[in-house]
Amino acid sequence: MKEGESKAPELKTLGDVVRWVIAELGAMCPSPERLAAYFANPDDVSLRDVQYHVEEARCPICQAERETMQRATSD
Amino acid sequence: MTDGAELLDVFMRCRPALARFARTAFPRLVHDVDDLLQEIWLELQTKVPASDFQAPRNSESWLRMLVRSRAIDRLRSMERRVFFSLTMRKDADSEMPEKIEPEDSGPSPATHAIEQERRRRQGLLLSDVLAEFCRWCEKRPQRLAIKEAYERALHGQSPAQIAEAMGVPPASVHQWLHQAREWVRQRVTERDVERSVFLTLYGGQ
Repeated sequence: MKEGESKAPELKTLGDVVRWVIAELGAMCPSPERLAAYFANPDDVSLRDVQYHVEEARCPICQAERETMQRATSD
Repeated sequence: MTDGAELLDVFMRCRPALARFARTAFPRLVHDVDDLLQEIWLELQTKVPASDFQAPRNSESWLRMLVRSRAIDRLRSMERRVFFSLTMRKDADSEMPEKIEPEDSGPSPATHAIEQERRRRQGLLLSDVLAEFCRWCEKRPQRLAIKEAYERALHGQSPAQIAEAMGVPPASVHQWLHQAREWVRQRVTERDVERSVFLTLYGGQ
């Protein structure tokens, strides 16, 4: 077994399962098009659900995407 | 439009950034990132020469989407492998989804393994259903509030907290959550014919 596989999360409750699928498998992530639209225009009221997902729920996948975009822009 | 050859150049130029993105967004794949990018590179080399290949407008963004998609595929594949390694057969636990453990069994290794396998199965199914739910919501602007309310609920917010955060009447939140839960419940029921996930999802376990 590879090292990465040994870090599989311990899933004791359904809550653990829900947190896992949202944070690691991107189950509640917006479509790539809407995520890109949000990054381009964070004040767009039609993207409030994306704002919640990225800023309040702090989705690690979407935040990493923004970080990468910002780095690419500043490079 | 960027042509196919240019896309491959962009991939090579952005490879360090794509690797950094994959490591940050998917920490469990930190040791697999090189393999992942190599697979994507091979996939691109197959796709790009095809006559029907449409080069993306924004290559970097498109490549990140591809990395994200393939990373999630890989995570799911890893989970399936863990699942099968725990059960050694695909249909384990499905014959007796409501099996009751003896009260004094305690968390034996076997019980723990069965429970982990069941939870992983729940996760894979829920992941599919929730992703489908998001795409359903995104098809109509009026459904976006349902998505936000449901995601807030999944993160533990009460209907009152959701109503306050979204600036809407609590009755609307109750209605949205009911609609979302019913949608998810129906999809889970359709997919989980043995009802093992359904029972735990709505049975309070």
